[in-house]
This record gives sequence, structure tokens and C-alpha cells, in this order.
Amino acid sequence: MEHQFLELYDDYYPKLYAYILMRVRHKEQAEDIVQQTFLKALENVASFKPRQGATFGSWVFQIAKNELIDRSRQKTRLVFCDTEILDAVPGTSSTIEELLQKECDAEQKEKWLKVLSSLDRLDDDEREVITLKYLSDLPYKEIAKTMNKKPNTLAVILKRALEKVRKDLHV
Amino acid sequence: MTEAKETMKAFGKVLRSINPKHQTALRRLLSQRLPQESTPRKTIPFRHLFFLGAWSMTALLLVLITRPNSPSNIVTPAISQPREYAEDTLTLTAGVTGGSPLADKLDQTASAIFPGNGDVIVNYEDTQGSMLETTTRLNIMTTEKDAPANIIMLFSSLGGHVSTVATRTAGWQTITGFVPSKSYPTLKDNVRNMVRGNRYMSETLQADDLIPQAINIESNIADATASIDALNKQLLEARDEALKTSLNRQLTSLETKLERYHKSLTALHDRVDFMTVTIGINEIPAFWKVKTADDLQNLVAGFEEPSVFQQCWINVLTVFFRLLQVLSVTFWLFIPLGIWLLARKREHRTWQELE
Repeated sequence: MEHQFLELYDDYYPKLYAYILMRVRHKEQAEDIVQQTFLKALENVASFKPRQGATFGSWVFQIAKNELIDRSRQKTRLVFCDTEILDAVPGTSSTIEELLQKECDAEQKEKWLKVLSSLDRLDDDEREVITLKYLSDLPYKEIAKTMNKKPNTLAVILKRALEKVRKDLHV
Repeated sequence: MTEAKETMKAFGKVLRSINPKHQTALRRLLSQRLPQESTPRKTIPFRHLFFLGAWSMTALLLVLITRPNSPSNIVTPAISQPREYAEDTLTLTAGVTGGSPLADKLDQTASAIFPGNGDVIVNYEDTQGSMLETTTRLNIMTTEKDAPANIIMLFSSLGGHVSTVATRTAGWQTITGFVPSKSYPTLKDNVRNMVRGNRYMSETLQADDLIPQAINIESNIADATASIDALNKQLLEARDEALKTSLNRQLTSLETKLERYHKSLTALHDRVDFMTVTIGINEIPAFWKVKTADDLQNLVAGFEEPSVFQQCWINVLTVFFRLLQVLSVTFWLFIPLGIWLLARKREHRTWQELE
């Protein structure tokens, strides 16, 4: 079990991190949520039963989504304190834009910022599908399970989202 | 569209590779918190248990239904069956339970009737001292058309006689008769020879103890004899004519009773000497059993008979039309199934297109 769980962790960590980062746009918060998600997954891994097409991926992403919802509820009460503390300590807080600046050169950074703003202009469902498919690299079945959508609906949303991105980026 | 996809994929790659330090740290934390590796307990899934239980219940029900007698009155004799009777079903039924003297006598009788490979074979004559009335039933399946006539002749040739012959349905006859107890093994052997290939033969043996009845009759005889002796003595001493007449009347009545008791006792002994044998004959068509080359020939021969061939066709057509009738009534039950299958197929196609 130990071996299996760590294998799944290695596989899903980058995917989940990319997804959470895109949702919260903040490195530390993303790390925290990813950590909480995997700890919860570890606590409840015994109760996980793959039924009706559910996979570890869809299950762990569902935990992450629930964690995000919990955080957004807390944030309405704690956001002031949280931001203050994070901003007061240099180097402990970094947004996704700052991260991209660190990781990429100036030209690439411009490109990714454009992509980010293009994603911001999408509907929630469209952004979710694009994030899960291309940024988290999940298979379609796991996306459908995570978003609780039928394959036809998923195909339509994805096509529409890609069309919008293409127009926005002029590619 | 492809360009947009490629851009998104490249962006995803950047995002996924952004934080390796945290990944390593979290991995270490998780591996510390992971429960120690233990041998996984093998649990049987619920659905397996359900099916196992259902099958067990069905098997139990089948066993209970197919049992020929209730367990309360079955005494299984400690006898070894002969090898050639290995496929036979033997049930020994008696009105008493095991452990009683009668049960022991019954065992002896059974051993005598079914001489096998056992170490001790009790001769039938040895059991004559006991007063057991034995009734047996043999059920056979045979392809011999002359089997009923042969069995009737067999009863006569063994010194017995047939009391009733009943035909229940076409191909099913019951012959009841009496045969000297000594001749029963011969009768059974001959009947067994009529069963082709020992495919099916069942045997039920029931024994009733007649000793209480015999004791009762014998005590009545003793009483009646003593009374006759006393009356004879009184008659010799009597002087009055009226008294003599009365004594004579009583004497006649008692002698009649005594004679009746003696006849009853003789009849009782006859019931012990003769076994009541009921043979159920189920005549089956020759093509039923395909076991040997002979059977195959019988099968072919059976189909060559026009009536058999015609009957087969009628059966096949009947089954076909019955199926059509059932389908015509229940076809609407398949509509949801069809819709579900179509939806599944469509979903599968969409998945393929998406991938």
C-alpha cells in the first residue's frame, strides 16, 4: 500500500499542483492545499473504492476541490490577516506571475501571462476543462468524473474553450 | 486549434515542473505518516458472499426437495452394496428408529436380501425366526417393451403371484405382487437385467414387525383353548339338559373363534414368508440413452421410426412457437435495455472521438 500510494503521489502531485496553482494563483496557498489534499487522501485511502469509473485521480481532485471550497469560505473571514502576514515576510509569498518570472525568460513570461489572461476570460467550466486537460494533463474520463459531466457536454465545452483561446491568442 | 492546444500543453508543462522541492518534502512527510506495511487481510467481497450463500441455499433446498423420505424414519443399514449395484439408490425404510432390537433384525434382513462384499453374509433362513413383514419397491427405466409381461411371468416362475397391474401414464406401469422371501434376490437380479446399462434403478425396502400381533393372536388362542377345556369338563359333569345345551352353544362359539385365530396366525406367517414387491416400470424411448455403440444404433433406429421423428419435429416447433409467444408478450421489457445499450454505444464513441 505504501509503495502504491507514493507512486500515485509522484504521478498526481504535479498535476494537482498545476490545477490548484491555477485556481488560487498563489504559490504558498497552492502548496498548502496540495499538502492538505494528499494528507486527507492518505487518511481516507482505505475507504477509497473505485466504483462507477472513479479513479484515484478523480477522487484526489474531488478532495482538492472540496478543500478549495473550504478555503474560500475561510478566506472571506481571514483574507485580511492572511494577506498581511504573507506580504510582511519577504520571500514567503509569491503569485503565479512572480513564479513565472522566476522560472522563465522575459519573452516566455509575456507569452504565459497572455495565456493566463486568456484563461481568465473563459467561463468557469471552460477554464476548468482547459486546466484539467492541458495544464494538469488528466485523461478525459477523469475530467468527466471530476467535473461530473457527460462526455458529449465535455467535448462541447472543450471545443468552445479552445476556440476562445485561439481567438484570444491570435494563433 | 492545434496551436492553441500546443500552447496550453507547453504552459501546463511549465506549471507542472515549477515546484520540485515542495514535492520532495511532502513525499517525505507522507511516507512518514503512511501506515506500516502489513499483510493485507484477504476479505471476500460481499457480492461473492451473496452468490455463495444463494448457491448454498439453492443446493440445500434441492437436497431437501429431492430426498425420498423424511429423515425421522430412515434407518440406513450397515451393509455394503454389491459393486454392480453401485449406481442404485438404496433406502431402507422402517417404522422404527435405529438401536432397537427390531432395527437389528431389520439390518440382518437387509444384509440377507442384499448379499454383498461384506464379511458376514446372513442367510435368509436365519431371519425366519423373526416376524418381519417386508415390502419393497423397485423403480426401473427400461427400453424393453416386453418388460411388464416378463415381470409378471417372473413372479409366477418364482412361486409368487401378481395382485395388481396399474398403468398410470403412457409408458409408466406399476406391478404389485407377492414373492417368497427367499426368491427376492433372484427377482431383483432378473429385474436389474432389464435395466440397460444400470443407468437408473431405485429400491425402497420397508419392514414392519408382526410379533406384537402374533403374540396377541397366540394369547387369544391359549385363552380360547383353556375355555374350551373348562367347558368340556363342565359338559361332562352337567346333568341338566338346558345347561348342556347352553354349554354346547358356548363351546361351538369358542371353537369357531379358535379356528379364526388359527387362520389369522397362518395369514400372519404367510405375510412373513412372502414379500410384497411393487415394481414401477418407466418405459423410455430407445434413443434416450447414448452410451455405447448399441445405444447409438438404437438412437438412429429410434429416429428412423416415423412417429418418433414426427414427434421430435412437433416438439421443436412447439418450443419455437412458445418462445415467440413469450417474446411477443415481453418484448417491451427489452426497450429500456436497448435504449441503455444505445446510450452506452454513443458514449463509447464520444470517448473515442475525444481521445
